[in-house]
Amino acid sequence: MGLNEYTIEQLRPLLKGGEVIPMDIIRDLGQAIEKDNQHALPLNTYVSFDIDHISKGIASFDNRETLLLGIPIAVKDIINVVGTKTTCASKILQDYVSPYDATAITYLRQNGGIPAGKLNMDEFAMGSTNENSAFGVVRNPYNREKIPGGSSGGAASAVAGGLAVAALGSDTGGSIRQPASMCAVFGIKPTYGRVSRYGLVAYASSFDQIGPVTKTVMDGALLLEAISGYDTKDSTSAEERTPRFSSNIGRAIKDVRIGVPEEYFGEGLDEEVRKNVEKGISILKDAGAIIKPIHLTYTKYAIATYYIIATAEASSNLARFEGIRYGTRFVDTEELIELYEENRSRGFGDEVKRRILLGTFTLSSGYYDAYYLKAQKARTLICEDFKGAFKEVDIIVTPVSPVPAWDIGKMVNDPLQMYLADVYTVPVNLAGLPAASVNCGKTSEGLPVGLQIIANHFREDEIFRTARIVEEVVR
Amino acid sequence: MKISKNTIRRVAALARLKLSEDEEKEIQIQLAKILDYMDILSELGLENVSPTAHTLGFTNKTRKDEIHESFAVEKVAEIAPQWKKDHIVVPRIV
Amino acid sequence: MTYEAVIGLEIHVQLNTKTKTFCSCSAEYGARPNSHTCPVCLGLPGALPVINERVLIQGVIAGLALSCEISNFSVFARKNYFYPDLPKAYQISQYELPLNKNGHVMILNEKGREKRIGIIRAHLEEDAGKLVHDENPKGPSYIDFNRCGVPLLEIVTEPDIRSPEEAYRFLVAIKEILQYAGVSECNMEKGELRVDVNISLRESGEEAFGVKQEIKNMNSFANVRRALEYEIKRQARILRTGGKLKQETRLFDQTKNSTITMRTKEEAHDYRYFPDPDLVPIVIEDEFIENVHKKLPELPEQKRDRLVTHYGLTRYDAENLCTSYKIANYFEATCKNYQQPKKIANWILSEVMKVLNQEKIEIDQFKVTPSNLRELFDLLDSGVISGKIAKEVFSLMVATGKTAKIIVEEKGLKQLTDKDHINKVVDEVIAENEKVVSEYRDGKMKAFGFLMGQVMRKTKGKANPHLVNELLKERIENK
Repeated sequence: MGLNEYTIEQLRPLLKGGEVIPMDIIRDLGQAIEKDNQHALPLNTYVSFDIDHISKGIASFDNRETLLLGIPIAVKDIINVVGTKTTCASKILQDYVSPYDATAITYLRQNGGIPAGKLNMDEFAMGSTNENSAFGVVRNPYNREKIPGGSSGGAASAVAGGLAVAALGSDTGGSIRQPASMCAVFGIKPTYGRVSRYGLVAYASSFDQIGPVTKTVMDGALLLEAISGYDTKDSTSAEERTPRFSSNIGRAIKDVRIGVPEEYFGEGLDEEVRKNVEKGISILKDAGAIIKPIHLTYTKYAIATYYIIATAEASSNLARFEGIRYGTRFVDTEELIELYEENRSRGFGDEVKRRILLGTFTLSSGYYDAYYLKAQKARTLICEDFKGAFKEVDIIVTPVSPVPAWDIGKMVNDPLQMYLADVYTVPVNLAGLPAASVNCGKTSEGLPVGLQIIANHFREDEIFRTARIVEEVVR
Repeated sequence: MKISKNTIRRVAALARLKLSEDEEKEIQIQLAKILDYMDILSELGLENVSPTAHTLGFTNKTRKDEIHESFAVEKVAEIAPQWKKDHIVVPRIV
Repeated sequence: MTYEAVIGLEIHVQLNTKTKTFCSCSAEYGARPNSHTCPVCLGLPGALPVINERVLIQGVIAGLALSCEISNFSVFARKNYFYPDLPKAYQISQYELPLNKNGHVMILNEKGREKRIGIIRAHLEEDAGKLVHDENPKGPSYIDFNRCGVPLLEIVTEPDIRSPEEAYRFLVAIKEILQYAGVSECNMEKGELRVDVNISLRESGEEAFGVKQEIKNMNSFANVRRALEYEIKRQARILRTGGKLKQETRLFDQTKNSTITMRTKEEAHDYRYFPDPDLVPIVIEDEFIENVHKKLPELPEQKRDRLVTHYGLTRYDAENLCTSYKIANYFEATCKNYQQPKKIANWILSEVMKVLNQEKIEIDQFKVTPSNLRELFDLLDSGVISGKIAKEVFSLMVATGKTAKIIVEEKGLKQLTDKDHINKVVDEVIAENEKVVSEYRDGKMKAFGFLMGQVMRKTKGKANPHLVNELLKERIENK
């Protein structure tokens, strides 16, 4: 087994003892990526894997006693890593080289992690299938004809397919959890404000979070510890102390109250997904947790609320991409408006354009109250739903995706259909809560199914504890 | 809700996006469908609900008025696609 | 048909802070282009804003100085539009919940009566970069982002102004107030203060507003006045001949003192304002506002009043001294424990101002410090030098930077008070001018002046004039 197949937890003692050095891991990763590229249907998880740049990172790494001891961590190409191309899987940034490190990357480095490779994704994090990339689709290692999920498809596929030890993804409406569930890996979106957003290219500012995508729950805990923490450069960063998340692995969940919301198990949920999720819940019950049915009555308004707010914020966040001050210039014209229009129209893919237009529309004169303001109010109701629920329970569990991974190309022509598939994940972002996906089984076709575990604000410790229980039984 | 072609054109102009005729037609249909779906929010009684802009309710995140190092001019030159004598070059602004 | 001009001003003032609004780059003017930038003010992907606390404080100070209501809860909003000097393609500003509103400034109108000009709002926002153009008209344009992100206060007045002169006086007043408050130096040449005006005409007695014209590109208060004068004539001409005006934006042309339509097609801007999700709301407690109020520097009106009551100056002199807080401060520093402040006020308003205007300098570049000037007056009051000599000494102080005492020493300018010496000179003059002496004895008063002049000339102006007068009279009468 190459070092690329190891977990962070397994690599730490080897690095500490000196049996392995970081360059060994990089070498095995490089070979695995090479091999996969020869495949008839390559996973295509990386936009760039620059061995030179990574080696420099390792060279400047000293042998201090750190959390990650020089372990390479792949980074979704929406996060700034100085000296690497940060393309956001878009043509408009295809040559853009980061002049600075995101704070999460700075913290990663301080904790001994080496950023290694930039992962493929849906363009500007907009999508649930990783089919919206300017650099080709990403495939699911469990079935290469199927999507890996998105928008952190590259992260989930690489980790599941042995092409990364662990990865950092981003989640705005489910973009860590959903691909993690489709690739049978662990992925957690932290509480909004837990991890700094400085250096994360913004999609929807009031939802975005960076989070780990890892092989195991323990790896997720270690990696989240390594990147969390207050950042004075981010006004939405929380002044919360970072707990030692790893100390929650292995704790019992006897008498922990687990809520199961009825609204998440209704029509539209695939039977096999339901069966596997229920299996996950019964594992928790067997471990001594108290399972309680709860109601999250405003669930059905979450998609509309999410997409109105997210696209509005996105339309403004993506306005800075015009190919004039940085990024790619596609045409040579002297007329300013034409230059803007040409660069942006050629630089952005269809889904991005669609969301920009939707967001521009809902913010435009005459429509603000009917859409944006209404959605902000609906958001309040959804937040209160969860507030009420967390008075009754400590944890909420739900499915992650209503259906398992579908065929590449199947839903490209129906954007609304795709949006509706986010129904279980977006409410979490609306409320700013932490949530993770842990694998709880597979369908008869061998496609992974994930269990979503939601906790109250800044209670990621509860998530790690609960996820570990499921992971232990399922493995 | 029906979206007119003029609305699509106006919105595209606001967003500095250029759409082909086919794209315009497609977007018209897609947006209309999506906006129809968004109308589900009209079911909610929202008169007495205040909007949530931030889930965690922070206020007053300020910083001290102290100078920190800026980018070197050379670094800005690296980022800009076109550069001349310490300035970023852009098409002539009338 | 008489028309009434209805005028409102939109003023952008750069707030005096060390760093920019949302990042820690220096806000200093005049640096090498693009040397004060970072991911935040360049609008690079992934950058985030964090508000400078000094900007908030300056904003509150300005609000108090302009008699505004300070909002306890205010929010930053994004104003979305595309322009090359705007890196994020939105400006962080304030929309529905501005920091300051409902203020006013008092001015004296042309009739000398006090008039209240309302201020609708004064909110915080960030400045854009600076665009310059290639000399070749076919060449490109260039951007310097140093200015991008510098804090601005946007002040919007009610349309209470009724004449170009009122607009001018308002601008002078607001510049004074903001300088005194320490909020901004309001130097238009450095771009620290910019003005746009809105003007419409309506028939006298009408309540409804006419069609608004926006005028931009005036780089001095005088040009604002000129632009408005031109606009009133232009609009009146059109209306009188039955024409219609359409709402438009015009530019002031300072070579012709006229306004022209902006050639670019101005689409009605839809700024799609929404609260900036990267920033959190600002909560300002009443206690904080009170503390700021207590520490507020003395404002022009208060200073003027105090100069009148405390120093016994006339209203006119007080106003003139107070046109610049620096000059008013100079006056007060010179007058510490001085019994005749009016003398110093006169000297500053005449001799000092003359030099400042000639040399085109500000009072803080003036070589003669308040204590220097005070020394000169002490020498004059104690009779060491005469009034005439004092002027001479002052010129030398300005030219050389030396103190009065040193100059008097070096040039031997001490007033001559030795009676014997003066009498000697007086006798000389009498002897040399017998004819004039007899003319004086015959009653010709002018002759005395001539004789005095001769004594002063012989003593190179150093003789004490009172003594000369006394002794000359004595000598002549006793002969």
